Amino acid sequence: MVTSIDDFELAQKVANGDRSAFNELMRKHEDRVFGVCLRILRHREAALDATQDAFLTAFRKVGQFRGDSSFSTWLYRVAVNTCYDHLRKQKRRPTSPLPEDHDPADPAAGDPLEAAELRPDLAAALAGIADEFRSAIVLVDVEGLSVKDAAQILEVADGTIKSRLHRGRRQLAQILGNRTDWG
Amino acid sequence: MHSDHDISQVWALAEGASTDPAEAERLIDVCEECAAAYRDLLTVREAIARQPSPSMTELERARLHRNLWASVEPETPARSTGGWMYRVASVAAAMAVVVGAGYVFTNLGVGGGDDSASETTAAAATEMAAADSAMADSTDSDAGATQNEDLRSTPQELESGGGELEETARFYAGDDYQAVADDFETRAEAGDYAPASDFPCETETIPLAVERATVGEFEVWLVAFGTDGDVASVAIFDTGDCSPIFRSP
Repeated sequence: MVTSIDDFELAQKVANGDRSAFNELMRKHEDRVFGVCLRILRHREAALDATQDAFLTAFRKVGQFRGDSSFSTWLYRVAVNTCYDHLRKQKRRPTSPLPEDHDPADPAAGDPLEAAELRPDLAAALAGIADEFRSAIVLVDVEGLSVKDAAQILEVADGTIKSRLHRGRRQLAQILGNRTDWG
Repeated sequence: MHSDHDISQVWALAEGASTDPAEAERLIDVCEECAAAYRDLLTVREAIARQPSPSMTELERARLHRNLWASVEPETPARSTGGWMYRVASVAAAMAVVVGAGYVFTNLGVGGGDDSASETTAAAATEMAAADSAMADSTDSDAGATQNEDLRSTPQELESGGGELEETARFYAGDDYQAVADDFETRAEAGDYAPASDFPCETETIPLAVERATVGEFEVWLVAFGTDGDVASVAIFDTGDCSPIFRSP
């Protein structure tokens, strides 16, 4: 794929100290990285922080990118790991109680900008499934990556991704209204 | 997942990418689980298709670029030892201050009145300035200058800053890491720790024990090396990028 070859050359330039090449890589990938982070973390500020951290790590580690996978796969792996770190930190942090009238399905309840971008039904449904299922669904169903690429990014076997997709889609569909009882 | 049927086939049908639609449709007819998987994927895809891709505002994009470059300003991706060289220089500079101050104390005496105290303070300040200068000279000019400025950052800046600021903060948390490393050494030898099975960092030798922990604000890997339950050294790595934070001894 031409894009991957270009990205590999850009990554090599970055490793040799060419910062403008990193700027180009950022501009090519920052929206998708942000999209992945936003869907995994479900919070705009956290997603922006994670995007920044992911690119910072990518900049520091770009010399380790050997082109075995596409640059975007490698970058997504960095981003997803960064999001997992943010999630772990979130879970340890004490949370403030929500106001009594808070309704997560109500777009007016959250950040209006976020509500405009993440439809409340899908956002709430994604929030209702386990992190590992959500990551698989975000990468494959939302971002359109292959099972193989998602497996590389999440560092699990292809079969694990398929299993997570299967279970995650089942839960997501049930939340979204397709309450199929499999018996 | 169903053990007898390849659900990938019905997924491919739902995605419009089936190479054998007849077989996929047959599976949907004969296998209830396959049919449910097909409906689930259609539901999910429909919900996803209804929402636009999220994107950053131009303000957020500008902030991302500004913050990122502010964090990496003193470094290049290929340079991995500058931080440690700087730390060695910092330690050397600090030692120079201590030796200098000791010389002053020895030769001028302490507690001999206000005048001698003033001289001591002045001499120590001179040594401090010389040490600062040596520290700046010992690193390359740009990085040295920027990192030296980092040392003058306020605690608030250290708390909120990433990159080199963060590294500087970690450097000054050295005592904490020593205590953490000592504690982990004891616990690793006693087998009293929570083993981590997902340690991703590359190490020269196979670790004896690995535990994930939090030190201050940082998520770290505690890694003990040694043989036969006897810990020879403990290293601490950043969980975010596996960068080494501390090593004892």
